[in-house]
Amino acid sequence: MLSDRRRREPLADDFFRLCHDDRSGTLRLSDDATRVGLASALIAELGWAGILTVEDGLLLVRAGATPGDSVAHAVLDDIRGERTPRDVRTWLTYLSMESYERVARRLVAGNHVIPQEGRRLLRRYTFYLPTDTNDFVWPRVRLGTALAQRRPIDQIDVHLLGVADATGLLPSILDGGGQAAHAYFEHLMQQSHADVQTLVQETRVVIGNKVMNGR
Amino acid sequence: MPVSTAPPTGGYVSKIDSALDQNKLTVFTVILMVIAAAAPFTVIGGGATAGWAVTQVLGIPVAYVAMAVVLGIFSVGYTEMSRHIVNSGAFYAYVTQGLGRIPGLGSAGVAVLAYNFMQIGLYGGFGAVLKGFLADQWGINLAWWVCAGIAWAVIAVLGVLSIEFSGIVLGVLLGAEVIIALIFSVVELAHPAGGTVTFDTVNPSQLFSAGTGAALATAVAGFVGFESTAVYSEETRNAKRNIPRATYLSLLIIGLLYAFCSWAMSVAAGPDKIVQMSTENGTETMFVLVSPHLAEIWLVLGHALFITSLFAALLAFHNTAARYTFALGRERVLFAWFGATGRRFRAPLWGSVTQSILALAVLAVFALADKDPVVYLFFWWTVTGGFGVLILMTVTSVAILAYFLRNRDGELAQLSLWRRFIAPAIGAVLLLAVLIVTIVEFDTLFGVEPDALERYLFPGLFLAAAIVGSAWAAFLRSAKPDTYRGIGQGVNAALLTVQPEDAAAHRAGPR
Repeated sequence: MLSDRRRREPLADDFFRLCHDDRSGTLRLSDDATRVGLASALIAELGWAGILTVEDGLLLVRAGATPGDSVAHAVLDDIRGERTPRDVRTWLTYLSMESYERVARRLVAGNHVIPQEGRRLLRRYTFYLPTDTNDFVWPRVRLGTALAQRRPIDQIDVHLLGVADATGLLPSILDGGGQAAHAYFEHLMQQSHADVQTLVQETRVVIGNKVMNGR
Repeated sequence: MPVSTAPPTGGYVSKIDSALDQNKLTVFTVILMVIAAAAPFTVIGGGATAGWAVTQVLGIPVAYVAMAVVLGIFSVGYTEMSRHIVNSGAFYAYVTQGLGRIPGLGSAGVAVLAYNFMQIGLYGGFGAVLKGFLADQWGINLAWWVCAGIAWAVIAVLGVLSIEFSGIVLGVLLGAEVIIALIFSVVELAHPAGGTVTFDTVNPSQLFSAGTGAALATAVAGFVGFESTAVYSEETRNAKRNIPRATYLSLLIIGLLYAFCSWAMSVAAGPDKIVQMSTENGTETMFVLVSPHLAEIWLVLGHALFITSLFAALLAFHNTAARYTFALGRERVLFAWFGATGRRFRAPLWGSVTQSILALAVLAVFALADKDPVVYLFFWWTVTGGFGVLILMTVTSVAILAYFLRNRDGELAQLSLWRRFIAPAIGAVLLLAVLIVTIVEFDTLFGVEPDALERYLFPGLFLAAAIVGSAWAAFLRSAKPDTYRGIGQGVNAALLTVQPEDAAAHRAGPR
């Protein structure tokens, strides 16, 4: 983390950056995988803030801490709002319904992206244009070079890589790193915290199930 | 109807439950998807008529009824067990949980082969029907394999882009298919051969005459796809009640529809003539029977729906086959890259591509061999696919019995004897009986001499697939124990790296 030349950005914001083209802002990943990945990243943020933990597959809230920003707060409110703890998979499915809009809102507020209106086959849609290409491409560069050069990677970035792998984005990060970089990634995942592994694998399962059900 | 499902905590309604419920499927949607994939018009217009032509067995309509009953009994245990295991849309998951990983992977081999036969065989029907339609309507003369090739190209693209028919499109097509099929049947019944409505083809005694195995196997092929109700269990509102309901209703609806419409054809042609008519007219039989009594537009519409029905079935089975390879890739039983999704489109990318390549290779061979696509590709391959699924269901029914005999704790303790023993046992015996007569009468099913090579070759391929699958599992047990553990888990195999042995094998609890 010390080697980072920039301020640490929230995990979900960095995942959002990984999912989009740094120049055009077009989505590089399927809609479903993006949403589930962002939901997973939002849970991860609260996990690394010491607010959430995973026990027996259930997502539990630790008393005390409050998250720093409104999006993380909204997610935590959702989770606190349930009387009984729910499993990670249920939360991934539920949070994926709004995860994209939530993270986009945070990036707009931070002036990292500007919402734009596009048209596709007579249909209007909103996309988000990066304000600073360098800022946007940074996570990919940071993770890609670290993997390729087998440099130490901090736990939060390992988590981000795990989510990227579960959603199918990893090959675009490994770009050029080859087998060695991939082996290094697997090594890092094996060393990571049990909660990280559970969250990442549950994310993989949720996306896999969507493929199996075809809907 | 229960008014609400509020938990005992009072007026509290879980925000996420109500939100997730909004996206869930109803019984109606599940039935719609299952029946649309079964493609009734294809079965009636293609399966039944080709069945008569090839097997020369009269009792195909009553065989549909019989199979619906057998599968209904099988479904009692099947839908019950589906709630307790993961990867519940795939028969080999049941076999793995009930009988072990080695037979489990053996049945996965059978499944991959069976769904491939089914899907690729449908191209023969599609090619022939589209060719006839284009020639009759616009005088365009294309070879059947060119027509099949067009469907192949479209499906190869749709498969990779993960585009499927939406519920609305399927619903409209299916509704139109069923209405046309019923209109044709009523017209046929209104004009019976010789002036009297006969019941020979639905007489239960047909089930005990020679050739019944061939008739039953023809019928099985028409039902393949009904098992997919279990895939939707996590996404269906009140799945515990609704998945069995959707399964039985699907079987009832398609069983009655198949039987009624094929019986009506036999009435119009005359039971003594239907075999001969089907032999002469092939997939046109249904249209030939109604053409003297209906305006041209109905026939055009009927042909158009026949084509869309075949296409819907092709696409559905393409995706089924691709998902099998995808799931096995996720288990790392096959190459892991089979388990990768397309980046831009949520598709089982390599499963889909592989399926397309296989289909293209088969189409090329058939195009070069210049064999009749309806008999040798459509009928032979789809009934062989159905036969493979019959093997799977037979083994699965035994696995269900074994599973319930072994697991009696918790929620399973409350299960009635009917659900956990009697129905699965009857289902297993009946399926085994059907399987045996089918094997014995495989020559009749194919319409070949009793000592023809094909009658041994086609069923023998499943034995080979089962042996290869089982041997691979046995190898994995010692060489790659982690992969071995994941057999039968499908996409859930990923969780085994973070969970202790077998914790992921069963769902956490009733949901």
